[in-house]
This record gives sequence, C-alpha cells and structure tokens, in this order.
Amino acid sequence: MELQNLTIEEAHTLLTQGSITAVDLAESYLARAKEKNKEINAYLEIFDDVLDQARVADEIISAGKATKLTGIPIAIKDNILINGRIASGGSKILENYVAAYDAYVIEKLKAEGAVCIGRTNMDEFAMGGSTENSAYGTTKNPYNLDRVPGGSSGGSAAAVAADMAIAALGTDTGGSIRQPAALCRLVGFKPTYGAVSRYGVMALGSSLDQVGSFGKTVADAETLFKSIRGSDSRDSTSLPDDFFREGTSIKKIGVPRQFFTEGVDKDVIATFEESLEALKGKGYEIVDIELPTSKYALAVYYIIMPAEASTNLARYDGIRYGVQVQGKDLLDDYMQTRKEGFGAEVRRRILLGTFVLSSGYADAYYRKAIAVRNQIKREFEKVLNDVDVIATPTSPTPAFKIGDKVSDPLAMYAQDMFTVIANLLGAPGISIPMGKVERDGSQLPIGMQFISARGTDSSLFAIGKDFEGIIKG
Amino acid sequence: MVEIDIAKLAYLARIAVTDKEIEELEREIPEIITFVDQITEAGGEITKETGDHYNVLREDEDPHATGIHAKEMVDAMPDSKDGYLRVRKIIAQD
Repeated sequence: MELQNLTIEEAHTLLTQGSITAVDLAESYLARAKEKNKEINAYLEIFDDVLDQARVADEIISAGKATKLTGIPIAIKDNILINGRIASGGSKILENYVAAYDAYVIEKLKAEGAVCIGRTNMDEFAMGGSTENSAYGTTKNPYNLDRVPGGSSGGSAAAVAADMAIAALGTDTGGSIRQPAALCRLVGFKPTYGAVSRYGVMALGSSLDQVGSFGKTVADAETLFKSIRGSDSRDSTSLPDDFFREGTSIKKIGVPRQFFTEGVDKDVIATFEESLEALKGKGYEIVDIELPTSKYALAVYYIIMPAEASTNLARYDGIRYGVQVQGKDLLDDYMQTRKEGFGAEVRRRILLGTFVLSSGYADAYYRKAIAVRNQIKREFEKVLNDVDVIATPTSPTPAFKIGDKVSDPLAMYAQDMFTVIANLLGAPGISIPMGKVERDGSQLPIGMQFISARGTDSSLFAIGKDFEGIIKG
Repeated sequence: MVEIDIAKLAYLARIAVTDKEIEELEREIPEIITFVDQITEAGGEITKETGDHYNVLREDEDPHATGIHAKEMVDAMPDSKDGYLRVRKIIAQD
C-alpha cells in the first residue's frame, strides 16, 4: 500500500481503525526517505531500527493505548540527543559523538511510541539560514533542488516537505524552524521560551533557544508541540503548566509596516497584504502598530546570540568527547581541535561573541544589547495591550539559490529580520504557508508569521487554522 | 571601521587560524561589528537588570549511585586509561 502525504490525524485514524499497521506506515516512509535522500540530503542518518520502533508502536495500538503520535514517522534534528545514536549537531567536531541519554523531547516521543526515522541535516550548531553551513553537505529544497531549504532546521523541513516523515522536530534560536517552514511550504512553530525543556539539546544561544515542531498542517504542528510540551526540573527555564493560557481569542492583528521599507521582496509584501485582506474577510481587524526599537532587533540578536554561542561552544575542546586533534601541547590541542572541528561560520560567531564580551567592549556591545532587548520587550508588551497578535512575512525572500549568500554573512543574517524578535521576546511564533512567488520560472513558497504574547501559544494555532483555511496554493 | 586584532581574539577563543583566514576575518568581523554598531543610537539604559533570567538552584541531595554513568562517559572520551580521562602534562620543565 502506498501511504503518502498523510497528516498525523489521517495516519492516526488509519492506525487505530486497523486499516494499516505502524510497520506498513514505517515501511512506506522509510522506502521514500531512502530513495529521496540521495538527491535531497535531508537525513544525515536513516536509523536501522525504524521497523523495530514500529513494532513497539503496533503493540501499543493493539493494547488500545495509542495516543496521537503512536506509530507516526518523525524526523529529528541532529542537535537533539537520542540515546545510543550519533548526535553531530551538523559539525565535524562531534562526528563520532554518541549520545548517552535521551533528550526530554525524545523521552516524550518514545513514551507515545512515535517512530524516529532519522536525524536531519542542519547548519553547524544551528548557525545559519540555509543548511549550507553543515559539515555534511547542503540539503536541497524539495520545491527546487537548486535552492536552499532554509535553516538551520533545513533537513527537518525538507524531510517533511518531501514526505520522508510526517512531522519533525527542530530548534529555533532566531528563526531556525519558522524560516525553513516558510521556504518548504510547511507550518513551523516556535513555542514560548520555557515551554519545552531543552534537556539533551545542544545549546546555541541559551536565552533564545527553543525546541519546536514542523507539520504539513497547523493541527500537526500543534499535536507534536503538545506532546513535547511539559515542565521539567532539568531545564531551569522550564515553565509550569499554569503559565499557559488556553483559548485566548484573537480578533485584532497588529502590523509593523515600518519594517517593510527595505530588504523585503516586493511580491512577498504584496502576497502578505493580500493575505491580510483575506483575514479581514474572516472578521479579523487589521491595525498598524509602531515598534520603534524593534528596528534594532537584528543587530541586538547578532550581539547576544554570538556572545552566548561563544561561551556555550567553549565546551567543545576535544578533551572529554568528540573529535580530538593533537597539537604540540595541551593549549595547541584545543586550538587545533577547534580549528579542524569547527566550520567557517561557527568560528566567525565564536570570534564575534568573544569580541562583544571582551573587556573594554562588553558595555558598548553586550550590555547595551541586553538593555535594547529589554526596551524592545517593553514596547512589545505595550502593543499587546491593544492587539492580540503581530503579523509579518516569515522571511523577506523565498528560497534563494545554493551558494548565493555563502560569501556574504550579513546578507544571510538579513534572512532573520522578521523572526529574531520572537526569540528576543521569548514569545511564541508560527509560520504558515501564504502562497507562492515566482523566481526564474519556479513557483516558490513563502510564509506568514504570527507572534503573540508569552504563554498564548494555543491562540496561534487558532488563528493559524483560520489562516490555512483561506489561503490556497 | 573598528580596529580588531583577529589573531588575539582567535587566541582568546582557542581557535588556530591561518594567515589567509586572518585576512578574511579582518574583513568580515569589522563588517558585522559595523552593522551591529547601530544599537548605540537605540534607547534603553544599561542597568544591572538581567531581565527574566536568573539562576535556579536545586537542593544538593539524592545523588545517583556512583559509577552508573561512568562507562558511557569513558567510552565518549578521545583518550582514556583504566576508566580515567587521560590528558597531557601541563607543567613542563625548561
């Protein structure tokens, strides 16, 4: 039986009705994953125990204990630890690193009997917006193989878009779930900071990182999020369940049009404006909002994130785990290991972070960035007294060509202009397909982003479902 | 444009760099710093506040049994002997 293009809901129904088994489902997705991975390079590894996992799921189903994710084929970003499996973070420095425990989110998936198909390609340590910074080759966009899938969770996005998994986990520090979701015509959800435990997830920018979900529909992204959400004492930023507000209704959408003046493709803005009109037709009210300090968000982000990354990545020294390159003495071991083990973008960000934290510059850069971040938060909170949600395009362009931006770091960073704000705020953000634009004769997907107040994750799913119902293509 | 001593930064960050890499980084890092420099014109007073983040400590109790994670940790080490991590001698005689 050919099983493809299924949503979690559809597959769950087939499984619990007994029309198919989890092994049937796994075989279909596994075969396609193996076939398509040759050209797409979404997976760094397709696991050898997928059918065993499916058999466990079938037992859970036969026992009548199936939950939504039981037997569902899911792809896992390679910076999330799975006990006994390599977790490389897309880096050469961890090419031989075998995880000794499960991340919290993996414990959750295993408890439901979800089937992990493999670990997906990513920009090294989640630094990038295209997967071109992976030490293991670029992932291709399933909609156009000459173009990037976005990043850093580009492998997870491409895996779902090419039907090599039904849903996927990614991580989002500055847009790394939402931007690839937009470029691969998926729904991508970054939860409230603290909603999902980061226990067992490689740290990039610890005040920004969050694990989230990819799905073909809003309902799928929601189902996967609800499964991994939960309070966990092993992540000190984990929030209690009662922090989250269910059922806040969204009627008023704020649009910060001052952001759209430069660096955004005209047809992306036009499609965005048409989408807002469609939302008006659904009864939503659209108002202009001012977030004056938010124009500095990208600059603030590219100070705070490298600062945190440079400290977080100090642990990769070749001594306790990972690759070790011998130098002439201990200091040289560190220097050579990190030279050989890290790619160009990671080294660049470590140096940037080291600079903005260094004596004499920390006040002007790092501490000033924290102050501006707090100012952005205050403005956002004020705006949210008046509107329920903020809407922007997810990314300023559709998928760009492989190689187009690799030699220009600032052009690559500009991809994050609309997404970093949610991470700076700790707020939830969702990207939903909003149609396609044409480049070189190819129809390329773009996304609509909604951001709301911390703890109102569920309201993004509500507006998301309304939105996907009215947007065609 | 900001003057940045890339060789010194790389040393602080414990990353060896070749002369060619220094040359590239001497162009790229100041470009990025010039871009982020725009925050100097933004509002927001530098204070001692750290925002929403603070250290959360747990009670020092309920330790796990000694050695139950030792094998995985030793297996992950690039260089080990008899259950110990082996590192280079750091004190040398001139």
